[in-house]
Amino acid sequence: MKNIRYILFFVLLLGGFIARGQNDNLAKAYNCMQKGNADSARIYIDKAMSDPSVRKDAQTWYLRGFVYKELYKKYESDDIRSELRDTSVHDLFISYRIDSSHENKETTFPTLKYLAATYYNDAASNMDSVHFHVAMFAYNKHKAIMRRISTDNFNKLDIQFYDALGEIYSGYFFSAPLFEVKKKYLDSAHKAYDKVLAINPDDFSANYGLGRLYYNQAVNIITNLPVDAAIPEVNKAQDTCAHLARLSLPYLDKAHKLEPLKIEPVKGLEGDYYMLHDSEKFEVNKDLEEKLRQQQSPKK
Amino acid sequence: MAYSPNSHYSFIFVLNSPKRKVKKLLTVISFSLLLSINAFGQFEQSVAKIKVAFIYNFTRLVEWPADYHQGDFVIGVINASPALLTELNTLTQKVSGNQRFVIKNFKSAEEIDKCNILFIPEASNNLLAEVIKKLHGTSTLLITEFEGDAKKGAVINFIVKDNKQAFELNKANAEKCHLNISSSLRTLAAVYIE
Repeated sequence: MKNIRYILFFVLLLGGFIARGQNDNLAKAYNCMQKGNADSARIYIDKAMSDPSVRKDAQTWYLRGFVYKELYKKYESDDIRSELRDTSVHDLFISYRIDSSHENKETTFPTLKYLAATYYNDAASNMDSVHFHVAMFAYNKHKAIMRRISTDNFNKLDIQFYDALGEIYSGYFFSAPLFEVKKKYLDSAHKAYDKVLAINPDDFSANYGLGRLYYNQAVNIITNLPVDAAIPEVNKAQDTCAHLARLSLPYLDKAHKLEPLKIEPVKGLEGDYYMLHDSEKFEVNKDLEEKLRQQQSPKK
Repeated sequence: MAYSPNSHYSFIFVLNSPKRKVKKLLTVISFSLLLSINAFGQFEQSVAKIKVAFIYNFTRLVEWPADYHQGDFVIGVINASPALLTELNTLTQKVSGNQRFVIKNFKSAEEIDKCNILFIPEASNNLLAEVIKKLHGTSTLLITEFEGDAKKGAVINFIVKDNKQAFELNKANAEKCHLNISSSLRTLAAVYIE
C-alpha cells in the first residue's frame, strides 16, 4: 500500500510540473528520487533552483528539502552540524511559507518533525560530560523547529534537559581543581537549574542540585584557605562560607520535603547547620539521617 | 496541483520512540545523582580547618617564655577527632621561628607533657579541671571550646558568634602563664576579659 501511495505521489507531482511546463531539471530530479537516487536528484534540483520562477514554487522547495533530507540520512546522519539537514529544514520551511494556502502543511510538517526528532536524538545521545555543548546545540535546533510547527509545550522536555545539563556542570564543578574554575561551573549549573525551577519550583533534582552546589562551594572556600591565613582573612572566608551555607539551606530543605526518605538532602542539611555552628539543628538532622539509614538498611 | 495528503507518508520514516529518548536523558540524571551521594562529607574537616587556622595564628601572636623556644613547638590536643587531627598535622610542614611543629594527641590528662599549646575539644571538656591542675605552673597556652571556660582557666576559648568561629581571650589567665599576648590578637578577640 505504501509503495502505491509513493508512486502515485510522484506521478502526481511530476505530472503537475510537466503540465506547467517548468524546468526540465525538476522532472529529472523527481525521476531520480523515484529510483531512489538522491545524489543525482540533488544535481538536478540544484540546477532547477537557478531558475527564479522555479524558486517561487512551494513544491520545488519541498522536493529539494526532501532530497537533502535523504542525503542527510545517507551521508551525514552522524554529523551533528550537517549542512544537508540544515538545508533540508530551511527548504521545507520555505515551501511551507510560500504556499499561501498552506496545503502542503500535511507533507512538510511530518518531514520537519522527523528532522526535529533527529536533532532531539542527537541531543539525547550527546548529553554527557564531554559532548554536552553539542547536545545543547542540537536541543535548541529541535526546539526551534518544533516551535514553528507545533503548539506543544516544552516544559517537560526542558526540565529533563536542564536537569541533566545542571548535573553535568555540577560534575565539572566537583572535579575542577581550581576554585575559580569551580565558580564558573557553579554559575553554569545554577543557570541550568534555574531554568528548571522557573518551570517547576518543586523539581527535586534542581533543588537538590543547587543546595548541594552551594554547600560544596562553602566547603571549598574553607578547603582553599591557607592554614597560615591571617585571622581577618579567616573571618572573611567564614563569612562567605556562612553565606553559601544559608543559600544552600532552602534548596536542601525543599528537596528533603519533596523526597523525605532520601538521605542525601538530610546529610546536606546536617553539613549546612554544622558549618553555621547551629548545633541544635545539626543534631536534629544527624538523628534523622541515622533513622533513615536504619530504615533503609536491609534487615538481617 | 495539489499534494495528496496520504501519499506523502511514503517519505516519512519511522521516528524513534519519544519514550526511548526521554529514558536516555533520565539515565544521565540518575547516573549523576549516584555520583554525588558522597558529596556532603567534608563539613567536619572544614570547621576543623578554621580552628587550626586560628591556632596557627595564635602561635604567631603569642610570645612564650624563653624555655619554650627550645626543642619542638608542641601542640597538644586531647582526644582529637580524625578531622581535627588531620588538619593539625598539616602544621607539621611549617615552623615557628626555628622550631618545628609537633602534634601530640593525648588520651587523658595524665599523658600530658610539656606543650606550647594544649587544646581541649568540646567533647573532652569534662577533663578541664584535671588538665588545669596538670598544667599548673607551666606556660602552656590552654585553648578550650566550651561556654564559660575562659573564666575557669583557659587563656583562649573558642566561641561561636554570628554563625562564625570566634574566640574569647582572658588576659589574667595569660599572665598567670607568663604568656605575652600581642595587641593585635587582643583586638581580634570577640571577647577580651581583662
